[in-house]
Order: sequence, then C-alpha cells, then structure tokens
Amino acid sequence: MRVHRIPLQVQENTISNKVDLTLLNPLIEKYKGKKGNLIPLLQGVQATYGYIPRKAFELLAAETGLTLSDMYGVATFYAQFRLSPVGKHIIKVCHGTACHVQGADSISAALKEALRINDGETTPDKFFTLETVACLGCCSLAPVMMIDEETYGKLTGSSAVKIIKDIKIKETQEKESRS
Amino acid sequence: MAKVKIYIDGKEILANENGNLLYEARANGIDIPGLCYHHKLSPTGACRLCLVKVEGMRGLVASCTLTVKEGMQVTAFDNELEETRRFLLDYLISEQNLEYDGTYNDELRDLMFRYGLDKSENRHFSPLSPAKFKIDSSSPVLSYDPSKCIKCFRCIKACDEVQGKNVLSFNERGINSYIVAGTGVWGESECDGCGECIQLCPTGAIVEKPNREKIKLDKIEKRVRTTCPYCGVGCQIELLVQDGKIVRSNGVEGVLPNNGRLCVKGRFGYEFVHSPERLTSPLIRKNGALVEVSWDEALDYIAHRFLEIKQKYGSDSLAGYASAKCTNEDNYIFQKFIRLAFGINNIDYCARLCHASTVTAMLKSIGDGAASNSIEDFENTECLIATGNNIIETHPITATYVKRGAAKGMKIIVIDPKWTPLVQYATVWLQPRLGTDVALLNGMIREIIANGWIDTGFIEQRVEGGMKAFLELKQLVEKYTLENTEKLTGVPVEKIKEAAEIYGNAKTAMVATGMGMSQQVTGTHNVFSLLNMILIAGKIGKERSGINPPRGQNNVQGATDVGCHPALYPGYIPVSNAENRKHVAEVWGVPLDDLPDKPGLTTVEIMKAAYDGKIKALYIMGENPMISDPNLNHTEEALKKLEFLVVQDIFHTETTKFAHVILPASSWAEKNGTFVNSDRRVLRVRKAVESPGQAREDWKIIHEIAKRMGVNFPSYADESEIFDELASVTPIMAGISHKRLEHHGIQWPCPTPDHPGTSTLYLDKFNTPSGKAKLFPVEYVEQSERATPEYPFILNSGRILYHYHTGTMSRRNKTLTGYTNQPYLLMHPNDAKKLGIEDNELVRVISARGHLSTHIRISPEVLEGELFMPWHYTESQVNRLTRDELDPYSRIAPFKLSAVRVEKIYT
Repeated sequence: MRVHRIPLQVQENTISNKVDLTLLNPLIEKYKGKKGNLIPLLQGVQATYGYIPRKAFELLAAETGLTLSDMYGVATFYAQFRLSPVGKHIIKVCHGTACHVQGADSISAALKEALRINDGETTPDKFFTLETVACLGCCSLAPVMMIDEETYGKLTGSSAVKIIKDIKIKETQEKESRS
Repeated sequence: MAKVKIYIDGKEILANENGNLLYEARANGIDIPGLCYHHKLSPTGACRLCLVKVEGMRGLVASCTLTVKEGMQVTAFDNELEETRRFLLDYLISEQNLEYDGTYNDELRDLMFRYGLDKSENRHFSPLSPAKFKIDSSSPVLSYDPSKCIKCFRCIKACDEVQGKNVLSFNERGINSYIVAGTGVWGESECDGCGECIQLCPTGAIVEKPNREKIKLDKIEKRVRTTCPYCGVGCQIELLVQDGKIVRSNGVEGVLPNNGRLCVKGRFGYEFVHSPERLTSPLIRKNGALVEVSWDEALDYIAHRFLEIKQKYGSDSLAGYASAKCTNEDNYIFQKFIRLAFGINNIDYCARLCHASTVTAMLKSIGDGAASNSIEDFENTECLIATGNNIIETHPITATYVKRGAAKGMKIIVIDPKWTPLVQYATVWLQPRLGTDVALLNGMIREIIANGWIDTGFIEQRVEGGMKAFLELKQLVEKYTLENTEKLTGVPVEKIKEAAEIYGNAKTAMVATGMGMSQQVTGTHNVFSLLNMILIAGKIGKERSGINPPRGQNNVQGATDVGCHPALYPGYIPVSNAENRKHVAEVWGVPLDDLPDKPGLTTVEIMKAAYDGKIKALYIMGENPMISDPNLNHTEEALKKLEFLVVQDIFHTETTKFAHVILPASSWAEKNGTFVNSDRRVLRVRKAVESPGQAREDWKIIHEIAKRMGVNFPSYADESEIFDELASVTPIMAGISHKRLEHHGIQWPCPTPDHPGTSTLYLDKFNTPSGKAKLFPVEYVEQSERATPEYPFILNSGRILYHYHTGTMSRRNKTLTGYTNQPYLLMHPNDAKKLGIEDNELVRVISARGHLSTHIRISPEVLEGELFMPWHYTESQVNRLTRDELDPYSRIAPFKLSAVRVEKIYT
C-alpha cells in the first residue's frame, strides 16, 4: 500500500483484527480496476479469512478506490458475508416451518445455554459458531441442525447438546494423543 | 436563462428551461409535498409524496423526477392525489418513531399535521413495533437514530454528490436497513464531520450533538446571516441565537460561495465565542503583573506612550500589525491610524507570511494578486493543477467544487511533496522533493513547448514581447529535459509527461496554488514559473481558466485590499503615487504632507528592526506572531526588547505574554462589517451576539486611541459609513456599499454602483501598465538550506482540517478538539526503521534555530528524508525551528523547508 490515511482511533472491541493482509495481494491484483469487482473481492476476502476483517475493507478501499460504506453496505446486504471470525465448526439450527413446529426454538435455546453464546456469535475458544437458518430441506427429520457438512435430525434440546459435547471431547482426545 | 410556460392546476407559470418540475412548482408558490427531494441533489423519487398527473403521461408520476417542458399541463392537487399522498404518508409514519424534542426541523412531522395524521382516527395503519435499532452517537459532532430514518437518500447523496466524500451507505436490507458510515461505526469512519447530512436530513434522524440539551427551535431569538470566521472561502452561515448565545450554525442555501455547504469548522467552530477565557477587560502590566483597568485609563496610557515614543525616537520607531481576522472596516481604520497617527507606512500583517510571494509574482506578471476566477470554475473546468495546496483540508468548501468536478470527469494533477487527501481524486500525483518546484515546472514547460501544446495566438496578442519573449523562455527551459527534471525533483519522467499532456491539451484549466509554493525562499520564482506555464498554454483570461491562490484567512484578501500593506494604499495603489495620495488626503481631510510616501517595513522586517532596537513600539491587532512568525526564538527576543507593546485580541495568546497593554476586542460574531473572500467576493458580516464584559469592536478602540493622540477621525455612525469612506479611496470597491451586499456578495473590481462585479479577471486585458501579461523566465536554484550530516532531514509544515492557524479559536471548540488535538511529526517508515523509532514515540526535533518535542506518526505520506508537522500547536511550536531568511522579492519566510534532526527521548 503506497499511502494510507491516518485513521481515527478505533475502539478495541470492534471488528478490527490483526490479520495478514499480504494474503490478499493476488486477489487485489486480479480484480483491481475491473468493473463489477466488489462482490468477487468480498468473496475472495471471505475465502481467505473465513470472514471479512475491517482491515481488509480498509485495504480494498485504499487499493481499489471502492468506498468503505459501499463495501460494507453490500457485505451486510447479502447473508453470505460475515464480518466477524467464525469458529472451527459452524452449527446451523433450522428454523423452517416444520422445524419451528417441532420445537426448533428449544434446540436453539439449549445450544445457546450450553455454549454461552447468542445467535450469530462464536465461542471464546473459537470452536463453535451458532447460526439460525431458514430451511435445510430435510423437513421429515425435523427438528434439524447441521454441523459443518453433517446433518442431525429428530433432535431434542439435550440430544443436540450431547452432539456438540461429543465433538468437542473427540477432538480434545485426538489432540492430546497427537501431543 | 430561457423560460418555458407550463400550467399547474390551470395556473400559468414561467419556469426555467430544463428546470426540475417540483422545484419550479415550489418556487412559484405551489407547495407540492415531498421528503426525498432537495434542490442540491439529483432526484431520487423514493418517497413518492410529490406525485402529480401530467397530461400525456400514464398514471401518477413523481414530479421531482420530471423536467419541465413548454406547454406542460400538470395537476398538482386533486382528491385522488391528496388521498394517495395521505395514504403513503400514513404508511411512512407507521414505521416511524414519532418522538419530537424540538431541536431540529422535522419535515415529516410538518406533513403529518398538514394531512391530519396526528389524529389517530385518521390513520389506517397501526404503528409497527419498532425494530431494535441502536442510536449511533460515536461521532464527535452528530448522532444517528435509525428509528427516525425514512431512507430518503438525502444524507447519502449529501455526502456523495454535494461534498464528494461518499462516506455513507445503506446497511442490511428491507425493513432492517439503515444508514451506516464507513464500516458501521460513525466515529471510526472517514466522516470528517462537515454535517452536510445533518443540514439535509428531513426528519431529525441525523442531528447535531452540540447544544442538543439546550436548543429549542421555538425559543430561538434570532437567526443572523453572516460570514464564516475561519478560512478564505467566505462561506455564508446562519447563526441561531438563544438566550444571547450562539447555539447552532447552518449553511445558507442558494448563495455563493458555498450554497449551503459547510465544513466542520464552519458548522461547529463557534463555541470559542462564548469561552470563559475571553478577554473582558483592558489590562495594563504594572510591576510585571497584569492589572485590570478602565478603558479610559488604558486608552490614555496607550496614547501617551505612543506619542512619547514618537517624540523621542521618531515615527520610524513605531509599527503596527493589522489582522486578517478582522473586518475590512477594522483594517481600514487601522491602516489609517498607522499612517496618520504614527506617520509611517510600517503596517503589515500575516499575508506577508502566506501569499506575499504569490501576490508579488502575480502583480508583476498579470497585474492583480488575487484570484483570477470564481469559485464555481473549480467545478466546471476540464483540468485542475493543485500545487502545494492541501485544498481538501485547508479550503474544504472550495474542495467540494473540485470533487464535484472530478465526479464529472475533471482531470486533477496534484503537485505536492506530501500526500494530501486530494490525491485520492487525482489523475496523477507528482511528488517532487521539497524546494524543487521551479525545476519541475520548467520541465513541464519544456515538455509543453516540445509537443506544441502552446497557444501561439495568445502569446502573440496577450503577452508582452510576444514570440520573442516566449523564445527567451524556451531557451532557458531547454536544459530541463525530462531526465534532468527527474534527477532534480525525483518525479519520474512518465509522470511529468502525463501531467504536461493533460494540462497542455485541456481546453480549460485552473490552477490552485498554495503555501507549498509561496512559503519558500524562492517563493516568488516558484509562482513566476507557474505563471509562465499558464501563459504559454494560454490558460488564463477566459472563463474556467486561470489561477486562484486560495487565501488562508477569512479576510486576508480584504486586509490588503483596504491598504494594510507597507507599500500600498487601499486598492493596491503604491504609496509613491502622488495623485492618489492627494485624493486620499482630501478624503481623510488632512494635509498632503501628513501622508507618508515611503514604503514601510514588512512583517518579518518589523520584528528584525525590533530586535535591532530600531522599532520601539508595536501595536498588534488580532495577530499571534509568537506562533505564526518564523524563527520564534528570535521573535521572542525581539518582542522582549520592545519598549511598548499593545496587543488587541479576543483571548490571551502566546504574544500577549509580552504585552504592556492588552485590549479586549469583539469576536467576529459580535460585529458588523465585511470580509473579502478568496475569489474577491465582498461579503457581509453581521452582529449576532453581544461582546463579553467590556470587550469592544476593534475599530472603535482604534478610533479612541487616535482621538487621544490628537488625530481626529470623523465620528462614524456605523460600519457602513466607514465602508463608504473606504470605497471612495479604493477604486476596485468604489461601487460597493453595505446596502448592495444585503443578499449576496459582490466580486471586485466593481467601479460603479450599477456594476455587477467581476467574476473573471483579464477577459480583455491584463492589469499591467501595458495591458499585457509578462513572462519571467526563472532558473532553478538549489536551496541554501539543505540536509547535512548534522541535520539530515528536511521539515515541511502545514495545516490540518480541524485546526486553524495558531489555534486561538479552533482549539477552544470541544467538537474540533474531539477529532484531534495533538501535535505530531510525520516520518517515512524507512526513516523510522533506521532511527529505531516506533509509532507514537516521543522525539526531539532540533534545527540550528531551536528545538521542540513531539510524537511520531509513521506513514508513507512523506518522502524518505522529509518530515511534516502541523504548526497549530503551542506545545510543539514548529516555528522554533524555521528560518527568517527571506525571499528577496516578497519578504516571505521559508516555513516549508528547514533542516532538522530527530532524536529519541529516553525517559
């Protein structure tokens, strides 16, 4: 980056994070100066970090001339973009019609309590991110949740919690045996 | 403008051709409702309230999106339209948080009453339960409440189309969407706080923070239209006064120079007026301590001391500094006082420290030292060169014209050793090393000549000596080949070529030249070189082509116009001109011999003479040389040596510390008069509030001292009478009076009362004796001050958006200091690495003249080996480091170039 403005002081608790911005150089090289590059750029950033860090917005603004607010507006318009880091595993709890009728609310409530996070948040250990989605397309199994690529059906609050606990235990054991 | 006939509800209306239908209807008293339209913005058509029926068009159409056409038949009001509008409004209101605290104009609320929707029985839609929106009050100047936002796009367009900043956008989608700045937090975005969005918000979703608790619109006593007291753009502002205090400042829509636009200082910088630190009583230093005294005692004492010193040492021992912050009327009386009561032309002021070299070069070359063109030309020209001019920060409203032009395709060439925000809008940025301007410009001239981009017809007809003079220039620049120029300046060959090509081929081109060019030992030569380029390309003397040096202070133009100059009487007439002196003597009612005919001393020369013991008494009105003069250690010694120093100001300053008498003056908001802005526009200043304590208007103080020194000025009833006298000795303003300035400013020259003023100079001839412009070929000379092993860095100094000159006013505004209030030294990352200095570390900066300490900011905004510091801050006075070695032609000091070294401070 050739020049950069001295920004106003940024509060600690906002979405500014320390990330390696040099990872974005090939992406910027590819799309710089091209018309309609905003969404491919944002997608590229998300593919690199799993989310769009604020610093990346600033870099794109300086390098491509796109304005921060335009990028941010688009990033918040589409559900596909994230503005905060995600955990290793993404839990998607279905709240479609069938799941809703079958008690999706209680599944979400149980997970929130077990993980001590709200919808859309990530656990402090960066292990799980909890999300609500509209429909996963397997209504016969309602209520349903998906963890990464795996689907779990006919859930209750406690069975859902057990599933995530098992994942955590399994991975912790694997890690210990490795070390 | 051509007119067309249209018919609205059967009424015949003469509308402007190509006008907007909604605008024309409203201008003719037909009040079609509407919330998303604003005359400064492109039509949006979002709120649908301005629906009308137009013959030949299907259905209902939004009038804000239509252009008037001859014979257009429009129905603006019938039952169907009004019912549709009520329905739409009802819908809007159902989503709206209807609380109202009386601190802002709410157009939606007004419409709610107009359509009877304040009564619940008239409403069809029950209020939607409000979404959970958070108020964003992270900005130092405004807060945004999404629950009051109707998504009309006015703020987004205000930021984008009007101010060219593009900070705002929509977040999320559907009913959850709301406005965001930057990446979602206003205070962390690039928003610089100009408040255009506040002024254009129709519902109070975006509101000002200052005085929020206090202001009640129904308790506003008066709204006073006046001129902004900060930079030289001369923005027209409206001050709202409540309980005798200014509580808000709005831009005045529809008048030049700003058409309602303001910057952060103009909108939020008024707080200093009511600061408890204002001077409220005359003070005399008795036995070292300042003692409050009565006006009579202070004035008698001053008159007595001035007379005593004049008698003892002669007129040569007296001098005065006028003020670019005071009105024309104040300054006119001040120069009259110095010339008659002191009997000498030792009068100067800070113009000497900013554009003296520009004025000197322009006077010699084209005949006037002022802007050749009007501010609008910055938007409509094809090409702009901004050289040594950080226009976005120092003249934010002139910059809005530039940015709007850029959006329409204007090409911008930035020439600046330091990155400025304008670089973001620039086609090409030339970054020469400090002090190499002449070489760069000569290189560009050579390139323009080599490619035949010159205007031969212009050179033959309008340049003295025609092609012969041109050939001299051509010969001189021959050695500034692209390669040589790159070697001298550090600017790559391709960039010089590109810039020369853009400028050479543009049909119209403006040049904005700033302090970077003028504040050098070679200041006059820099501007000569620039003018040479302009003249051979024929880019002056026509509309949208010329040279504008944006002036730094609100009335720096006016103070020289009215004669605060050691060599010039009012209206730029040399003191040696006997005929003029005779005329002035008649108007002033004094014998001709009373008017001194020898040029006096300039600003820095006065200080040097004080140091040498030749000047014994100094009268300073509204200036703060202890921050603004070069080589402050020397200035300090000089002030200490004075036998008698009178400082007249609104606050204690670094300079009042040395004063024997301090006089409390009125601020700009407490007086009537006029300022002249950067494009020669004479603008009214009107009194909004009373002065604190015993503070008085400057001219009244001077008037009293004159009387006590036995020089009787006429007893002026008010400022307009002073202006009339001023106009009678200032030919360029002869046709102007306060009465004519009631509604809008007038650009001088305006020789007669029926003259409309002059927006572009030199259309027929230049203002030189021959009527032709003159080329002054100049060679590049290496700077005498250069980097040495002892002082390896070259320090540049300048201004920033949030502060103003010596900070006396701007640093007494919480809103402005809320953005930034700390001095810093800008250093290139590679230099920082070499010195092992981290960002924000405390360092000492040392030159051969003095030293200071400040914090480092590491950024590639400057070149390696160069540094930059803002000079507003008393805690790190840059001018402790600068030189008082002067430009031989204009006597300006080289603020932009000092050799220094930087040391870490170990604590």
